[in-house]
Amino acid sequence: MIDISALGAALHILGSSWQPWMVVVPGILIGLFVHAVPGLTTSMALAVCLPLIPYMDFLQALIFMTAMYAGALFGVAIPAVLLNVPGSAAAVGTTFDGFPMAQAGRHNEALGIALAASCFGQFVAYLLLLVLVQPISAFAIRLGPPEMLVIAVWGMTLIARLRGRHLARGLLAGAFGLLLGTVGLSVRGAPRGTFGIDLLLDGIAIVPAIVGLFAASELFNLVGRDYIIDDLTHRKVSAGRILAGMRDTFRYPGTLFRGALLGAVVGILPGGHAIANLLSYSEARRAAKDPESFGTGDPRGIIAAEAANASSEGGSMATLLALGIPTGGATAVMLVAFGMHNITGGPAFMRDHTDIVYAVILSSLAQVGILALIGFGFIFVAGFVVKVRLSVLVPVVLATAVIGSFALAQNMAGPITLGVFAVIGWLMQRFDYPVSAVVVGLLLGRLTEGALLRTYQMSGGELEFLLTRPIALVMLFLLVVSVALPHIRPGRIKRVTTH
Amino acid sequence: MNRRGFLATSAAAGLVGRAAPAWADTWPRRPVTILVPFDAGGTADRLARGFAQFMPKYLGQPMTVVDRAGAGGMIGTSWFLQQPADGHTVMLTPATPFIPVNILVTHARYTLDDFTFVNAQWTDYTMLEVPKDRPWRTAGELIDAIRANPGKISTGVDFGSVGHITTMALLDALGLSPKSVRIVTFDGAGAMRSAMAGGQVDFNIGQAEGAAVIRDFIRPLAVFLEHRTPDYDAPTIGEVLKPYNVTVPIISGSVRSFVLPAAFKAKHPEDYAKFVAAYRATLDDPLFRAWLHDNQMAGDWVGEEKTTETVRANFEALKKYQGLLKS
Repeated sequence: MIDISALGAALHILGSSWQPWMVVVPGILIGLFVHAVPGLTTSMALAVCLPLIPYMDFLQALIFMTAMYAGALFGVAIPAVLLNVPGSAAAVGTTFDGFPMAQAGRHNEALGIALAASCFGQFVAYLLLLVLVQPISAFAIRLGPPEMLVIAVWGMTLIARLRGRHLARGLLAGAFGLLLGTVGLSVRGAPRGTFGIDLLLDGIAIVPAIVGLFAASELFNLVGRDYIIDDLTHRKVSAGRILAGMRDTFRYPGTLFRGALLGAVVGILPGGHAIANLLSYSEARRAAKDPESFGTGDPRGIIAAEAANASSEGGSMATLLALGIPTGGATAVMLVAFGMHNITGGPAFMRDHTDIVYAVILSSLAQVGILALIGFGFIFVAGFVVKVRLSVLVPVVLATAVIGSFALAQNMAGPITLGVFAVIGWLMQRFDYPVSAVVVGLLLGRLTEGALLRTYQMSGGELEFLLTRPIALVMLFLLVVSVALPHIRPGRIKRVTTH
Repeated sequence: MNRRGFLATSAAAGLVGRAAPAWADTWPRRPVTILVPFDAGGTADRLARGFAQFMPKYLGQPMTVVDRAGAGGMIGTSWFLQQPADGHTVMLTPATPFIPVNILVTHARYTLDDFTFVNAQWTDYTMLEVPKDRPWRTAGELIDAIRANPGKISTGVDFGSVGHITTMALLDALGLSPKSVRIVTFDGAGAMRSAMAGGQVDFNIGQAEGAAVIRDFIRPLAVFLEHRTPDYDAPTIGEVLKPYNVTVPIISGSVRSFVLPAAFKAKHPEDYAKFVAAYRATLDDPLFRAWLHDNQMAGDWVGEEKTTETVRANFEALKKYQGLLKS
């Protein structure tokens, strides 16, 4: 499945010139920095870097963008762990256990775990890509609305797991999130829930909403305290403990592999990238013998979320390189490089430029090592956040988030969204409703509705249609098993013990 | 013009451009913003960046590109109309179908009369296509299959697009009810093309240019043009429909044009004439023409009258078939 001669040519391109490598370190640094600041996003970084692209050759431009993404994929984890503010939807799962670890003074380990899991996830994804780029892409386009619907429903089961202390409040919060997700133009062109405000036609801006919900519910809680970590003796930045965290990651190979593979598969689906981390978190929790330890600072929670998030971009990269079809934000942006170099993606590109495709994949594998090094230095510096007084830190983070949300939307919609959701988040926290359930609903609302509508349209209302979708049926079966299993097993054990 | 002459004129033009003071007495008094109501990297954005590079020497002021995407161009277009109509903010956009769709489908608070459509510089057309693994070799076979199996064959549409309207108009012309096919509505042309490549739907009428990406996965059955094109090996829709004795309106796909506020032309006709002159000079610039060619973009000149006519014709067609979109 590997085209050996093209692989040789790719090694030659990468080995014979230092030019393609020149952009790797700046790319990773830009990605890390932009995503470590809550509210800034890749599309903004890209807008700044766009004028540079025509001055790079095509391979260099692609490597620059993959390097930016390598940094970005991990960068979002840093504020998620240290501040409980996910830099994007892709880091929501990381906050669940990352922030409790940080609060307990284990921020060094938590960041180390996130870095190692992210690097591992990226490595697995690109390794799969190197061997299977064509089969993956051929499989990817077979997945349509029915398959997407099953994934979305699977994601929704997460709401029940994130319920917090009260099931009813969790479900209510999830339903509220789903409802918010339907705001904007429907797939059939009808504006809903916009109150006549044009800026809401594209729906609620996800990133400012998430930052608002999380920032308010957590940062406001911190206001009464002096530091993120109460205990002075734990407020240390230690390279040794970061390394220990990185090493510890590999003590959970099952969680790590499951996360990486799950992310790679879900990433193939359009929109799958944003929910891969949540699905993986949910599965890790389901598979654990002690699920109640999740959410209290369990390293496996970070590993599952980060490994899946990192590998999900690899899945969408397969469809981009082999088919010229982007399925995620990252790959949509990479198409810009194609456009600017006047190259049409698609099967013809894969056929005629296999060496370039391999060179991009190989350089991405190498980038993982470089990311591990740069990321290590970066989190070492970022770790000093725990030494900053909260009376300084909280206003700075909130101000950055507000400015970032303005830059993102280029109008007041960003800051207003952030403000409104900050109030909602605070109220929910106050009355013990799980904020994360709203985020899951918000992320899945649109996806689920679109997939459901299209599945119905494709079927013409006939149920037999499902029989023509074997992949969807298998996925549905797995979903039912995964949901039912925990309820069956204890019952059987109980019966055995009573006899 | 020979090479040396051309170099001399462009150098002179460059000097003139540089000589103009940043705050001149006459229009343009300051840098001109080109607003693109779509994301960076799209066709309109790339074209705008070409103008930002080549047009300033004829305009005497630098040009910057600003992208404000959202709601099918409506967010950026609304913002554009809120700027002072002094010609320092111009818009470059696929004027149809987006402005008519904004008005008719998403109820934008502007009308066609608010705009001056300068020139349909680059026009795309639509095409009827099926995934390669489907059995239909000609459009006639597909039409017969729809008639024989009403409600069984599915089509993907990008809601509110010209392809969607054309699909409904074609069914209408053939006397087929909208229920005779399964209409699957996708979020945008990209999602729809992925679905076509994967054979998720049975046929599609969409932008021919965009379909280049999925060329290897599809079989073109008809182009919505007056004459055949060398780009795709398919008959025109007129040829296809001849045996059925019906016609469908040929609605231009994407008409990329500079768009200015109507108020600018009304209040400052001399300044507007200056803009058009600078624009035409840019279009005639051999360097710009070479750039367009390298980027596979067109640089046609059809003028304001013809362009406005096209936009209005598309608006009327959209209005006529708007009821069908809801079905």
